[in-house]
Amino acid sequence: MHIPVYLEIAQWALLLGLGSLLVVLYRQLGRLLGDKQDTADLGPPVGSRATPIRYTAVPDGSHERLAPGDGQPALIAFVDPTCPACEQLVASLGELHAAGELAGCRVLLLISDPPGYLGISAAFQATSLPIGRPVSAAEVTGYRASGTPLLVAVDGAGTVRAAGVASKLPEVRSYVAAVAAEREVAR
Amino acid sequence: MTTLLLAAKAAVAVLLLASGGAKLADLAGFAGTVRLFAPARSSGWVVAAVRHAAVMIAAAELMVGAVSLCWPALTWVNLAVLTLTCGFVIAAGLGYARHRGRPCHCFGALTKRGFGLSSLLRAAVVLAAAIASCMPVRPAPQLHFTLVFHLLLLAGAVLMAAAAAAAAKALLTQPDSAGTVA
Repeated sequence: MHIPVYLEIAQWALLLGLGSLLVVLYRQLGRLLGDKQDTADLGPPVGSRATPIRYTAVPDGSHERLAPGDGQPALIAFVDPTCPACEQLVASLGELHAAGELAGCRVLLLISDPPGYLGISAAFQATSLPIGRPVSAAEVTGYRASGTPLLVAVDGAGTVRAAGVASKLPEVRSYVAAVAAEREVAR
Repeated sequence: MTTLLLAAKAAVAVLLLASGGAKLADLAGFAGTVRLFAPARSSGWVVAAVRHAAVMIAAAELMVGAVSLCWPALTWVNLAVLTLTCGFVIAAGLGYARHRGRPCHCFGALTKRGFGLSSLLRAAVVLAAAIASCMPVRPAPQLHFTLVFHLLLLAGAVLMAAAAAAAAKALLTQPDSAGTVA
């Protein structure tokens, strides 16, 4: 049977495409098995001391400072308006805030995108939670925020109680629970 | 020369299938990229329009990719491929100029790369391949084959798109790379 040249070429193109996907999936499998897990290096280690963060409040531009360890627990969310999972995290935090579950807890949304990008996200436009932008990358080095969304729960003594990727409501609620006992005292 | 032209045509078609499938699996992410090119502050209908635009672009990539791969003799599909790839270059150029470093979701969640010079160059290479695939192939019968071959290629195209979508879904759990504070 005569096989047209194009058919042979198309077969090779499909084979190469599927092979590339196989490599991508194999790498992801490695990450999921914990070999090279991307999220392992994300966020400060639990039990470590959270460092203070100087930031520029958005949109008013005032210079503020978050000092973990001042007796009040804090939830620090590293988010960006251009990241869909971050929008979900902001919405989840907003929902908990509206339900009063964040009472007694400082919440700060830290963005790395320029403030002009806030307009592209409905969740960021709607939130009443404070938003800030670190004054320099050095301010958040200790938080190892190489990816977003990253949520860090810090107790009143300034110790990191939980840190990692979170966006859905139950996940975020578990971070709130990590500092819940402290919150009761703060209240 | 003919082999090179055919290879360019098949490669662009497979690329479109992979990117279309991956984008459909990560619509929220791709809609976020489309949103970058919409007015900065806008009402709810823009958000809905952006989502529809994202679906349409991904569907167009899938359809054009599948037709281009399975029915290579159709000349109109070359123009459709050319239009799409021109769109990629324009988007990559605008992204490079205005949104450097922001995630482009060009292949859905398959890649976390942002807009930059490399994405612009890649788009230019794809455009060059699309232009090459518009050139007439001699002898023309190279592109005419039986219905069975067309259907086999279509099965391959569906498999490619489905595999890309599945891979993109698997990678959705990975965090996005954070930007750098200036």
